[in-house]
Amino acid sequence: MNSYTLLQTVLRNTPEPAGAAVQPPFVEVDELAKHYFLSRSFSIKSVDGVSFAIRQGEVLGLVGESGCGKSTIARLLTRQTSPTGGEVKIAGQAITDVDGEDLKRLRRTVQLVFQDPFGALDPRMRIGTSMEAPLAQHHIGTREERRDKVMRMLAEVGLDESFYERYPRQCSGGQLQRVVIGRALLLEPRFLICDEPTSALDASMRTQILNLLTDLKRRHGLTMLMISHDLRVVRHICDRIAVMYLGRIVEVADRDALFKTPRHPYTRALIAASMLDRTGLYAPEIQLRGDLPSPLNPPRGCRFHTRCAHAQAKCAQAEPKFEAASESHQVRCHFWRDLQPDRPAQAGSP
Amino acid sequence: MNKTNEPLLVIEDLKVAFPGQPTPVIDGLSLTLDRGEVLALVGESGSGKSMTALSLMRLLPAGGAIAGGRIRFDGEDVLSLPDRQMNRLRGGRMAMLFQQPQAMLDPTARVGTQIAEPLRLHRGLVRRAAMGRVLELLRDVGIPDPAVRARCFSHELSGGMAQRVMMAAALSGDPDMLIADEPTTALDVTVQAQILRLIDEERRKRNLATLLITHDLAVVAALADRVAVMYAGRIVEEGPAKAVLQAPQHPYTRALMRCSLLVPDPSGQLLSIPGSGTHARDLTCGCRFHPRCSAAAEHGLAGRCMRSEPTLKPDPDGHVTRCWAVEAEKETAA
Repeated sequence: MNSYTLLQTVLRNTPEPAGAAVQPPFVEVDELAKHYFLSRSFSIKSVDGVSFAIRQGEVLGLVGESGCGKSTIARLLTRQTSPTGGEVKIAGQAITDVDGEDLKRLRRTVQLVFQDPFGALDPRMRIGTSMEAPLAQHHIGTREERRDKVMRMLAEVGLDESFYERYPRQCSGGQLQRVVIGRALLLEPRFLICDEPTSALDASMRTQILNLLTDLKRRHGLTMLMISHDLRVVRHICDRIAVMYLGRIVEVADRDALFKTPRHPYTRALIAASMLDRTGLYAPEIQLRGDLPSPLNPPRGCRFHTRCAHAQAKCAQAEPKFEAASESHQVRCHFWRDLQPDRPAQAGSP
Repeated sequence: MNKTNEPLLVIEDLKVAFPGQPTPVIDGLSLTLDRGEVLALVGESGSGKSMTALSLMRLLPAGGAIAGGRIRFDGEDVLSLPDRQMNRLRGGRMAMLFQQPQAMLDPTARVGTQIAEPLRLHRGLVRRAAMGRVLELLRDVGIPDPAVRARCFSHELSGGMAQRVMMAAALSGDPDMLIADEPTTALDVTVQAQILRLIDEERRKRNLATLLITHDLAVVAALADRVAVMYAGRIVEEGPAKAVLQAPQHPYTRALMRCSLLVPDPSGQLLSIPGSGTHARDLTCGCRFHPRCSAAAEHGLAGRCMRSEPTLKPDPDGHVTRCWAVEAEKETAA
């Protein structure tokens, strides 16, 4: 073996340089904005300059109070509404101005599961028919093949064949949410958005659905965006969590980092409000007074300063930048460095 | 006012049935509730907990009828009261909070007018006096700028704000008993804690008997004195909140507790109760929970649980449980 062939062999067996191996994120959201104009000069800034990325196979949690714009983001990512600014790329393709066949293809790639399964299914349609509808819409398979697919999917989401013939009123909320999740997966999406998938369900159903989602994600290699107001819910299923306040993301971090060292006062308040004490009983602590201010007229400076326990004069004047607290942890607060580390989030941790 | 020593509210062996359904939706329910006490009624949807609340107010949906039992409120038999007197009781001495405050408010009337309505009806106050009282009530329930808010319509309020308004309306009749049916389920976590605290403050201030209905066991820990767990129309466990929450006995309560906590097991799975309780009421014999129960098999009692239904057996400390396995355990311990 001469030196040249040796070199060739070595080159062939060497992994590619690290730079080339880094895939672009599966979902890239850049300075996304949605302003609803009420008049020429007056608008609701529902989503106002939001950027985040989701890697292939990753689950990102999006958490915030109602009115903070999290559902608008779901609508923007599925192109049910068009943004007034910024850009979204899914699987490398910009989706902000696709239409026609491309839009239809996008809708196959991205599927959405809503909060209320009763509202998501036609009460006069049998469940089988409801589940087949999107397949027919996309001209997938013959009638028999579609029926087969639906039957297999029913089994996969843990329902028996009798559900095919049932009407929604004959099922419980948890069973219907399984149907809705199954219907979303029938189109073999690569990106699944769940908007409060368990909020309308009982405690016992909630855990079943969360387990099902975790399971399906693993089996189908799904990339997911999980929207909820309850940190307890996103905690199990998400790899990373973004916290939203009045149209802006105020903190993003890996799940464990977010719970262990929350940097933003709002994140801390959310954790305190939703958490359990050491014996596992609900022991919420009220760090937040009042409601979310109106997005019609968001506070100047840091949007959170009106409800923040640590606010200082500067907070009312200048909006903080999004700063990196660590490599994978960003926070939008002037004083995050000065905040004392909280007592560790007790929080029913395993 | 109270002639005897009995609690403010006494429910005895209540049965509620709907025509066309083989078994009653509430089957032999007995509960008591005293002034200043918070009783949490916990269960999944379909367990009959909301129906219990509605029967107390005699507001069962069409078709539903009380098929047996007694309800006494402050010594009076609620079920035999003439309609006129019942109307005086509703919104007067008995008040109710609902899951979706926005849906309960009239979208076409100003919030203040709606809170004033019971005052004018029950108290005979004239408009001006009623509005004065409305502002006081709004301030009591923690609404900033009551004068401005009283002129709002319901769509101008956030969920938390609307629930506070409902609370003000509930308190306007100066009630003795407050029924709160999932008062925080539709709200953000941040607001949930605020509303729970508000309910707690008001019941202390006014010595309100409070019936708190919820599916989330964890939530009741913040508030309840006693807890009753319902499954498929029956109470399966009842006792002091501390005892039920820290040492739940019935397998259903235990499972529900684990679900509420959302804590995964070592394999990363969340613990859940298999199946659903939708059709448990239609079981013809045996314990209604046995198809979903793990204790039945563990104790080698599966046959017994399938054949006959256990009764509520009390502990010395007033903790009652309806379960063969628990009974068997106690016998071996004794």
